[in-house]
Amino acid sequence: MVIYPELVPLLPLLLSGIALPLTAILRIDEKLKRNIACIVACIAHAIAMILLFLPTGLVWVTQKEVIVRSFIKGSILSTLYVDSISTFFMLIFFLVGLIVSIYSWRGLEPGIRAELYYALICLLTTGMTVLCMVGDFISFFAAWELLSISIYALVCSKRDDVLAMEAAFKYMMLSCIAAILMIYGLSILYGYTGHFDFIGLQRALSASIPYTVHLALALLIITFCFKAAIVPFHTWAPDVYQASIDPITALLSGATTKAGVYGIMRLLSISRLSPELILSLGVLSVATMTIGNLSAILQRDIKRLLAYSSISHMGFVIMGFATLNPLGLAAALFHSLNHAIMKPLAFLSLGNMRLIAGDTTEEKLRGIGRRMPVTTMCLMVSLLSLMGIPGLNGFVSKFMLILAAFHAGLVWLAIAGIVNSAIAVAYYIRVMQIVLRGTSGAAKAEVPMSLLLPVIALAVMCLVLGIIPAPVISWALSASELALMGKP
Amino acid sequence: MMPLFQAILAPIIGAPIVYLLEKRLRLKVGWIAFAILLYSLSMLSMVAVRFLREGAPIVEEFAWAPLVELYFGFRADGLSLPVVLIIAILSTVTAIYSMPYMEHKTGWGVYFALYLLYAAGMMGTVLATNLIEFYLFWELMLVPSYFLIAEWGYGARERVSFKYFIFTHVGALSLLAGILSLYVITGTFQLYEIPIKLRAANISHYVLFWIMVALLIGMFVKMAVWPLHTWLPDAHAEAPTPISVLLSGVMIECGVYAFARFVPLFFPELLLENSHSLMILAVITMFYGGLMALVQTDIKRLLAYSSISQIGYMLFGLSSATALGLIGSIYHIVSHACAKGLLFACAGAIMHQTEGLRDMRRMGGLAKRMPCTALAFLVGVFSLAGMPTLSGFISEFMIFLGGFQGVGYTQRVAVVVIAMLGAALTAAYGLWALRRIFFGQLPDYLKEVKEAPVTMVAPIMALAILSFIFGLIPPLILNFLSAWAEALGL
Repeated sequence: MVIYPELVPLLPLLLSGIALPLTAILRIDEKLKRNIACIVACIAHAIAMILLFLPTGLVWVTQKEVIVRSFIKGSILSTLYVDSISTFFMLIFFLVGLIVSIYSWRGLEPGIRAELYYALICLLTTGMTVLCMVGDFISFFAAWELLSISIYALVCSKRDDVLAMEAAFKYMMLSCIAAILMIYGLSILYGYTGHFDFIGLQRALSASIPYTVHLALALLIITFCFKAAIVPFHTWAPDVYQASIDPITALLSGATTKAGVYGIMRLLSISRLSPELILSLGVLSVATMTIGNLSAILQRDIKRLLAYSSISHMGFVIMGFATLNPLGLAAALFHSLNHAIMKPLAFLSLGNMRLIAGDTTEEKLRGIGRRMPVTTMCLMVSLLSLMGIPGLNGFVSKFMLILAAFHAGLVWLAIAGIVNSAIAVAYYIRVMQIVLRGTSGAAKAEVPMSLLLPVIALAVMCLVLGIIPAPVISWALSASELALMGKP
Repeated sequence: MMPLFQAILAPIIGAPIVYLLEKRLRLKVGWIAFAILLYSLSMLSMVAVRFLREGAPIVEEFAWAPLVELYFGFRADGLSLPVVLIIAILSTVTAIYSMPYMEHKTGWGVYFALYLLYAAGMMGTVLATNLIEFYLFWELMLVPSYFLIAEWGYGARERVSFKYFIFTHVGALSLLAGILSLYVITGTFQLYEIPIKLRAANISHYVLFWIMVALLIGMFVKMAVWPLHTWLPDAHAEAPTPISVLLSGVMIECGVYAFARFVPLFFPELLLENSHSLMILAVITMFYGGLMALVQTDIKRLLAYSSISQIGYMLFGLSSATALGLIGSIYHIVSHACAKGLLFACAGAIMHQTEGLRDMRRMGGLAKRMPCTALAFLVGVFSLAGMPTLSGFISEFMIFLGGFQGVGYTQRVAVVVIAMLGAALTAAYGLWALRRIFFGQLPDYLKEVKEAPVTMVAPIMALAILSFIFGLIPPLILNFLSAWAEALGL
């Protein structure tokens, strides 16, 4: 039996995902069970993260080489393919998973079965990590479904909430259609090239390819766009984000949308997308940014507003792919990471406010800022960063994206990005003003430390990445150069 | 040692400290903020003395993002030193002034923390060595000032601060578009490499023109040049008075500084070509501000419109594209910072002593009750109106002299003459305001008014004295500015 060192980070997550539901049969106190589940999940994520960054960890190994392994000799299936693109996304998934696990300890509403909840979170992270590590599209599809199914269950963690049920159902239906499109695309690809594995595909797709294969690639991109909530495949996002409990919203907008981004990135790295497809990514990006922003302006519920803002930010990420130069791809990766920090920060701060104010509507949140200074400060950091104020991480990646668009000669795309940044300011400022509006004279009511800690950690990350972005950018650049290797 | 770094970092590091010390020191935490700013000021003065001795710009840099050859650094030269010094002086004295102003309000720690960040943003903007750093500090001065207005302002402060943020941020995005397109052409953000690369790149005139327009829109929003001025009267009138002092006294002048820094350096030919149209814009701004000031009854709104008019003067000097005009504009930054800071501070002192009275129709005869404030107000008005021995005279004199120089003589004379008539407007609204506030019949409800506390009067007097000093000893500033004009090759 060979032990593959690359798979080690996965083990704690997978094991806790499998083991945690078993604690349901234990006859112990509910509270103790919840604590155990939380600690196990946090440790699993933390170990995964530490293993990633150890001196022998994947991050450093993949800087030098691409790891390719085949579990069954000669088989086209069950292959491992890890490069710096994979590790970059693994970082995003582990980070958001860890933060959400910590937050959920006290942030879970009563009535949610903690052991199942945490097991699902672990399985979700497992799914996303496997997605990044596999080297063929069959395993890729399996991982894709694993993460999708975990999401359906997580969205309706509040079992008696009709809205959550409806949202989960909507998401499931649309997700299934998207999965079917993916299978369709994959079968065309297989029919043409005879390969499912990335290396074989890469070889087969490097020559000129017929129209049908472009169609197959377009179908795959649609699937990924669906997961990333790109207009016009975004309709599930506002409902699901609003109906889920706050940590799950953070997880969805922070991590699972990035699974779609990973898909697009992987597709770019193994194939040469046609100029029309790239152009349509640019058009989708503009549509996503604009529709996301304009819808956000109209919202009265702050959580829904942030859901739309999340959509618009995914438009920014896609903008990087449309430029098709190393800077743009690196910016897209970096913006994915930044978004995975800013948006969970916003949703979790909002979750803290919900605990005190009762809801996240404009009326309830009015003047909450004076009662919860720390949470408010963190929310401000997140909003300013989302807005693209220099000194915070959101600015750096947005700046790189627009710069890349200028470099690629796509002036319309760059201008659209700038105009959308300007539109977005309008609603972020409105959120700030609602929160700061000084009518509430009630006493201070800050949430406990375990809820503040993840939020503060994220806010600090925003600042640090905003001031010292260079290490992450060079990592993202090496990943994006890898993706564009051998392409004009 | 790196004195410039210390000067900028001290307020940034000081901000959280001030916030944390509030619990223990209460309002006295303002003295900590004052001490921090005083430290920055002394560092900057040291640099200024060194500059005069050595005659070469003082640059402190380290690599920031080596990928794009970006350096983080500060550069003090003949242009940036007078501006950054006046920013430091004004924010230092206003820190003292803030304490009596804030005594009936809450949240002192947050106030002074934001105040320090705001000051650091303005100083950093002026000292930045590359466009990214410039943009960073440019936005750093927006965010704290937004919170300061939204939290401690008057009236419809939510609406006003919203307007302020949207206007300024959209302007900044336009500036960003200009910066990015410059980078795409030249491949650098470093301020002094851009003109060389720009000339080498051989870019069409048309493209350069639009890049300049994008940059100018950003600066004009900050400067509140007509027709992008609409945020200013609201924001400056409704901001807490110490913040009005800084907004009007130095923040909008950062836009003037940006113009003086970038435009003659990057687009010297375009500036000459468009000099005439920019001058007309300046004259419109001047008259618009002056006429609007004439009809105001609210003392702070009057001063806000007066700022627009004064920005017109500065733009006038800049757009003349002559050495004298440019120097005069920067000199006017200093004069205006002293005079307008002083006037806003006087308005705040009056409001503080009369429980928030702002309507000039209900004032009168206050000179008997508040003699020091009245005297200082007089100095401020005279300085703005260009009275000899006060610093406003020197700067306005140079601005108009600069206007007469240069190409296109006959057409230009007409514009300059009209502009000089605008100076009469300044005297008109200033003196009329003075009369309505301080002279005439003292109404009964103001009988009990006393002179403002010493922590308010002392900063006001300091600014009045500075107006005299800069009016009597112009070489104090001209030594710096002539070094800049020489380096620019004018």
